[in-house]
Amino acid sequence: MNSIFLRTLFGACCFIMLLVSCETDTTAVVGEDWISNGTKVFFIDTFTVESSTYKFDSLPVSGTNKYLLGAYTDPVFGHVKASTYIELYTDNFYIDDDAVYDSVALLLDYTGYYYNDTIPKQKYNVYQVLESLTPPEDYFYNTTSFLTSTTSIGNLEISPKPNKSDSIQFTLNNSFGKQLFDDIQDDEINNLDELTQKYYGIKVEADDDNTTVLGIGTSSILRLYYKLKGEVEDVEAYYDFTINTTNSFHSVTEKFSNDDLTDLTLQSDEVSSKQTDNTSYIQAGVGLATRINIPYIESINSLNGSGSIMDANLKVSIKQNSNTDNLSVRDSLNVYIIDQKNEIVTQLVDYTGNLVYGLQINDEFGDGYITYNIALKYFLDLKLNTINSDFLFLGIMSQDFNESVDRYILEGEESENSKLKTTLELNYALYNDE
Amino acid sequence: MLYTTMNKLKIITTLSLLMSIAVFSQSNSLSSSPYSLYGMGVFNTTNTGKTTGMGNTGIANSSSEYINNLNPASMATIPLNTFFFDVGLKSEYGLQIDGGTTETKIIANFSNMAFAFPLNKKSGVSLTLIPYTNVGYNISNLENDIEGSTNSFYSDIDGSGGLNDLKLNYGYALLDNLNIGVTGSVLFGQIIETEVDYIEANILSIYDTNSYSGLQFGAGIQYSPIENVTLGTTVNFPTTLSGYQVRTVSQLYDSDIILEQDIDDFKIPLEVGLGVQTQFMEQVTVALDFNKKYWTNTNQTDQLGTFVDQDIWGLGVEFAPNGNPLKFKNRIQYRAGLDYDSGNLEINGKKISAYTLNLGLGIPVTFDGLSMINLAYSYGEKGQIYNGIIQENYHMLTLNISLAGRWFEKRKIQ
Repeated sequence: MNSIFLRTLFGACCFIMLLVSCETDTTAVVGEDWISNGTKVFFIDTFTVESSTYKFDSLPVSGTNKYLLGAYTDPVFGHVKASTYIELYTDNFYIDDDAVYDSVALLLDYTGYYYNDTIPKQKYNVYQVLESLTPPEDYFYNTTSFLTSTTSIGNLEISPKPNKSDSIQFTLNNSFGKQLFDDIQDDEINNLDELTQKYYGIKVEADDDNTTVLGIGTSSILRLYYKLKGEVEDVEAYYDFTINTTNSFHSVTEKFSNDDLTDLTLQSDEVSSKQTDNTSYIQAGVGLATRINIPYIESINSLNGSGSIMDANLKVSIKQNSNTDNLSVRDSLNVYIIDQKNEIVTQLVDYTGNLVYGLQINDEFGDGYITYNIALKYFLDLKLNTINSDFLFLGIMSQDFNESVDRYILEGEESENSKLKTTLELNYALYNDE
Repeated sequence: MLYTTMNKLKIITTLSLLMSIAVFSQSNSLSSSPYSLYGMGVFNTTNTGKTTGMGNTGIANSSSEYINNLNPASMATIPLNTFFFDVGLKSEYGLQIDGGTTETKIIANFSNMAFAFPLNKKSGVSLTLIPYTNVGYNISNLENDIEGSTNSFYSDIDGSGGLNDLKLNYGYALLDNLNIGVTGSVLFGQIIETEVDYIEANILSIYDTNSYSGLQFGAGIQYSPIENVTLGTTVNFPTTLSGYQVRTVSQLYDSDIILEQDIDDFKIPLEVGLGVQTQFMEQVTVALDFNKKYWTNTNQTDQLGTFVDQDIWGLGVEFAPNGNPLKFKNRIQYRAGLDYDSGNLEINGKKISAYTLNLGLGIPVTFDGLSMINLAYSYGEKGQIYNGIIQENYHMLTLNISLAGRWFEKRKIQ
């Protein structure tokens, strides 16, 4: 009897263990009115945002994917001019002794990039560089320049066709070409050092006319044409120099006509959008950027109870009618965390480590407004959790900031049009109200 | 040889019993009711042995055939050399009607574990682990406003867990027809509420573990003025359960925030029970119980409503054929019960009362008739469709495996 009892008991215990998992639940909407959610979520768009414009002392321009060349005069900003410095490169120092020099050409590739009007003709000049093209510090900067010959070794006046696949063809002086040809053929130049010590490089520069700034491909070449005697007739051939991208770059100079911008001398200088007709500026190439400060975000902690920012978005809009087909804007902006001296700390990321961009919002009402949305939850959490959070700001720049001259004119935080003014919108969840 | 095998079996059984209790204490969802949102959840009604089939009566019942957990005085009636063990399983199918909405839910779980044995001729003890309250609700897609905008956020909220009652009963036979008993309970457990809020692109989840614990004491008397009639009374003294909350707040990307805080105590009121049980023709047993819980004195309110005094009536009938015990069908017991619970919850001035109809069977598994499988089917209705009140209909099956073993009895024939 006892053993039956104990065995049954043992069996029952095992059965119970099995049954623990035996539970199903279905979803109920019944009882919905009974439960009061303890969490409250507030939408807040009244936090102070301060926008201003600042200018980089200099932009590093080493290793860009293209070189800028050209000039244009912006109706709002002023004159911008970009010149390309090229150091030649080759790994072949042999030209047949029987070859006879014919001509020399500079073939600059289009990249598809241009800014402003390509229809008017522009004159371009090529000069010989008279100094070694080595970076003054770690990098070339947009402000870097090198001494060049005063007389041009070739020029061209064209209406650029940046969307065509062919290249801009400069015919250069034969005195330059023949000398270069002879030096290779006569073994005067047998390696790269000997090449760059005698031929520092060339500079391509546009006239100051208000036309366009082009992007020039790094695959551009300098070509020597020559002839070889054949049995029946002469054979035409050529010898190419490519670009040494390490020691090639573009310089960009500006002459602001806008009084709001001429006072920006130091990088730590800034001009508030309130002083510039509720406007802040971005101009790539020359280094104008918009700074955003959110000075009183800490006051969110004064809401009673514990809570968290669920999501936050900064809305920044283009000043209406400030962009045209020629002076275009792109669908995203780059955003950086900057310090009180307007130095870049890091590019803005989100919690997954992905870069955060200012992304153009669909113009859902069809009113032609262009607004960018910047996801700021990570930045605001960082600011709330950092001791010296007063020194955290955002720097908004354009795409390809060191290799384009795109410019943006943005609305400030006190603009009259409430749909366009710079605004911080956030959802704050209070989960422990006191 | 036989004894060593027996010892091994006992050890294994004890171990698995302990493990079962450990698992049991984790408190899986034992309720499917939206009423479990309220207070500490829905108070458990199922009990050991044949109690559920008898309309939850037992204040005047003895513990001579099964563990009667409803009156500690009954422990004095455990037969000498007998060890009772009881494990209960329960499955509930609930149907909730709220205006035009109907929902169904099924849960299945085990519902109690108990053992009892006599100390001597005049006294006995029992130890039971039984759910005290059950929480089980689950509300999805609850829409909430984002204040300051026209947007909404959505929440999924669910609750589980409940409190357990680890109860020690002691009964003593003061006179042949008068038993007294005392009881002490450790009430403990966790009510877990999970809230997941979908707020724009982010997800906020709040995981609350509310732990409650407290002690409750009580006493009981059973008296037989005449043969086949027993009167019983019980009292459970008021107590306070202290609460402590650990709240874990997490977001999609941010690190977790853990908040720990004391939460409001929960007050358990004074409870008084009266019962009478009588037997006719050695075949029919009738039991009537009345319990009153003085909730009003606790002055407690909840987001749903107010706690008010609660009356619970139970009526149970058992028919045992008592014919030739060699025939199996003569040893089956048939039971029926009826419950009325006035409810301890008042919503919008209405008390949420409940009715339950119980039908039970006792199927013997051993020849002596003490080890039984007790099956009960209950149909209950709670609340009514009225102004924000939910009517809940449920079907419940309970299975109690009630085993009895003879201990310390030498076999006459080895």
